[in-house]
Amino acid sequence: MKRPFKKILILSPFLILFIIVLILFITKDKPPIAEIKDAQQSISQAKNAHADKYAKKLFKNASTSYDIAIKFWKEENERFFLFRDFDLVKEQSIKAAKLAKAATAEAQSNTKNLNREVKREIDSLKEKIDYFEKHFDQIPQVDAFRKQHNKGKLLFAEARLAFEKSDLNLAKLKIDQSKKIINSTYFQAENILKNYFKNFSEWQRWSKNAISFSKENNTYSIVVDKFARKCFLYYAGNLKETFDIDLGSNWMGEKNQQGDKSTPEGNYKIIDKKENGRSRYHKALLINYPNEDDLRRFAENKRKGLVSSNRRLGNLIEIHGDGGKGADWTEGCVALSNRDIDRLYSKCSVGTRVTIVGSLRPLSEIIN
Amino acid sequence: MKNKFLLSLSALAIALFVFSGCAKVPQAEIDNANVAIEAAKTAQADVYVPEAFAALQDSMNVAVTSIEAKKSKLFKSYKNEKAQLINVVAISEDVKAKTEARINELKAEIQQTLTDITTIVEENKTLITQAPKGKGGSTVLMAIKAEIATIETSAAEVQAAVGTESFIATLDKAKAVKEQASNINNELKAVIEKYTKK
Repeated sequence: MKRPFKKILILSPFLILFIIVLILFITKDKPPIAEIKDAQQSISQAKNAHADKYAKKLFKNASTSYDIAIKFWKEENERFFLFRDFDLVKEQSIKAAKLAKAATAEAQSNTKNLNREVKREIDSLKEKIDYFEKHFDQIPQVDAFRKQHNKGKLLFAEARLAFEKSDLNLAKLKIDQSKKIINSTYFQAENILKNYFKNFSEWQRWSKNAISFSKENNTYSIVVDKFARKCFLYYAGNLKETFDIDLGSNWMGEKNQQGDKSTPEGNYKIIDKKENGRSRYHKALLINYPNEDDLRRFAENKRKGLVSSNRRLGNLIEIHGDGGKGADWTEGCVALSNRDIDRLYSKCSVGTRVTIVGSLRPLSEIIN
Repeated sequence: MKNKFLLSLSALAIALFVFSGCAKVPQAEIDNANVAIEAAKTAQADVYVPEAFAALQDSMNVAVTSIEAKKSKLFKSYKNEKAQLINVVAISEDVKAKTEARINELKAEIQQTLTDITTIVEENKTLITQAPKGKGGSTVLMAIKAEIATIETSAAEVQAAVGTESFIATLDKAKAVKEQASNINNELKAVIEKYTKK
């Protein structure tokens, strides 16, 4: 056998083997690179759309499918190329891309809805907090749960800041926590008001009587609305003047004892007019507090043990000047600005009827 | 001549066959990149610089995909992938540095906000003494005092929370407290202005 032929004989199997391998390699299924890249991009887009926060389940499933696809791909690559099968890799990649795209859509929709929902809740709670501060903040009894209410307000501020930062999940969490507290304090304050307004029909009757008295006798009558912080002056049944007033810090409810800083409710009359020098304020109209009703109620309260036996009912309730401060600062008197007390003082005389009521407007009207 | 050609072809085929299977996966670079990403995560890059961390993960995913794609090829070289992985390590270090910088920024902002709160609360306490109260304390002022007390308690809680939770969460709480303190400040100034006009 000639030597060149022998060489060819030796090398030809390798050459044939190489050609076969090459053909097999070329014709063999390729890994689904396009599908994997699509899955990768879709997951990245989903993440940018915050699907990890707002479409958690879909995003997690997409990520899991992608991880499985990569795991399968790595495993297949470890095998001899003739035995590699990328079907599962492809299947999982397609699934991952599909889930990621669905997660993006769901995240966008959820973000939009949550944004709307949180905004609505923030607006609604803001109204409630403002309402609370407008109507309930001046209720002395609210002090008992004010700390709780303030905590609710802080949570509300946190919710609003999170909303401004578009952290909707955090905003929702904080607004829910805040809502729970604010609703609770609102409910308690509303109940205090409801209890207070149980006397409303009596107040209505008192004020009607005062106005009728003024009409029938062609005289002045003063009606004080504690809730509205207003003092109305009637003449011959017609409203002539309206003044702003300041009250005692514990203004809500009936006056039960001396020093309770409460402004009494009832039908009174002016018993003395004090000019400068006779009053510590700029003019004062002294009323006949305590009247018979006050004395009777005080005795009853003592008997029931609601008031200590050594307590006194107090006196010297006046309509006086040095008011107009926009705050409840008196010991139980009704304070007007000096300009207003001058006008009232000039029109009233000893004997002028003074009716002090909790409110002239019903609670339903005030609350709504 | 013919023999020489066949011999060369065979040698080339064998060489290609051998070399095609010999290109090694850059495992050391993959490990380095994974360690670097883990270090960035431990530094809480996913919390403080989430966009940069997501981009880092994307870069790693691209490199991994590229490596796996190369594994399926007959003639492979991992030169580009090695460069990609080295770049991932560099990005990781950058992300880690950015995370640390962001944390320091947040810490400084928290401390500044707490200082602001203390200043505003002190001013509020002074303002409350100037606010109208006459013979007795008014309910409104009592309400404001109660709110100031809540703010002081909350500020102390924020101070205590520094380092125990995300600095972002602590800063958010501090900002909320500051906002409340500022609201009271404005409210008091308005009341005093009204009072002094009388």
